[in-house]
Amino acid sequence: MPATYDHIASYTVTGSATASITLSSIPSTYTDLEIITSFRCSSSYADDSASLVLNNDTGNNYYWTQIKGPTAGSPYSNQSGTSGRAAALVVNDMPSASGRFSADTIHINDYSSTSAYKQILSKFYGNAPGMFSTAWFGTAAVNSVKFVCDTSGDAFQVGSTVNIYGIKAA
Amino acid sequence: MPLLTTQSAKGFGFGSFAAGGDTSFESIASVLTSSTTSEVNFSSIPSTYAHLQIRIYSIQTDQANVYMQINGDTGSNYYWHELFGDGSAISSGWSSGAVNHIKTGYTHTSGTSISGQNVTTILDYANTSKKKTVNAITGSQANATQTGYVLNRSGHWTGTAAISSLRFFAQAGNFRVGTRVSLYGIKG
Repeated sequence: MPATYDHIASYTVTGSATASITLSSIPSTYTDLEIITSFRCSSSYADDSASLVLNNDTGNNYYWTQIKGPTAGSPYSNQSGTSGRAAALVVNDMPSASGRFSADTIHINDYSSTSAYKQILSKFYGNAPGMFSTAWFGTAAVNSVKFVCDTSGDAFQVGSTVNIYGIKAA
Repeated sequence: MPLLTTQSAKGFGFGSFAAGGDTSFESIASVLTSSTTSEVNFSSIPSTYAHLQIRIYSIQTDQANVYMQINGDTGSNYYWHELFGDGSAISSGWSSGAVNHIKTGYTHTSGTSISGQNVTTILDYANTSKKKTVNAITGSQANATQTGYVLNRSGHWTGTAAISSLRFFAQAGNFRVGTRVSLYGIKG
């Protein structure tokens, strides 16, 4: 029987920036997944965002709602719109300054359930705090996660990390 | 072994962990509904942890919040606050006085394929000199044409007794098959 809170896998960007981070072969033996990320996608462009692709599904099957408190202006909420999106937005307003990274926690409860669409809940902190709630319109058990930077040409900078934990209910 | 049913679970028996596992975060009990269920209860919660965490994956018969009550207290002894976004505006609200529940989870539709996700933490739940404080993050996104919600909630119960039981029920309607509510203990 797995432990209640297990470290499943991790990835650290070393050497040079990488366009994407993929962790695959996630076992289905846990109840929930908790993913902790520390990201910077660019050394020049502030407020970049990062997205999550589940099971290599890059169709427009992700719908999200966000709340965010920006550094300037009033807090706001927005959403993906009716056409969906090819990945789940999970991290926003990443810093670009050297040595600064985001601090984010992503929850996917009942990630192995095939009875309903998956919901992804993320809290992000970088240049601004906020939360995303995202539905992935897939019912397969989640067995891989792929993170991508959203701005074309950007890549995860050295020092970016992903850690995945499995939580096992009684 | 924990006694688990579709509607209730007694919280004891948490001694099975793989070598190398982090035993600071332990599963106390979990309920996975196998039929339409009006409520989920945890009783006999041990007081040996520092904090409690509840993780909810709810599929509901109505678009509704998930309410929580503590130690069988059905009186108006609870308060809640929330910050929420619906995709077009960000708003805040509160219980407008004492009510008989704390808001935790939420599911945005009555559909069978749409769930709501919630992580609730109760701090210092066994401290008898503190009124209990709760924080919760919640989200549910229905479909392309319905707005989803994302919520950051807090609440408190005016009682100071150690928490030994929890009740979860929908604001309206019931939990569908496949709803899971899991209770964990976090050691100090």
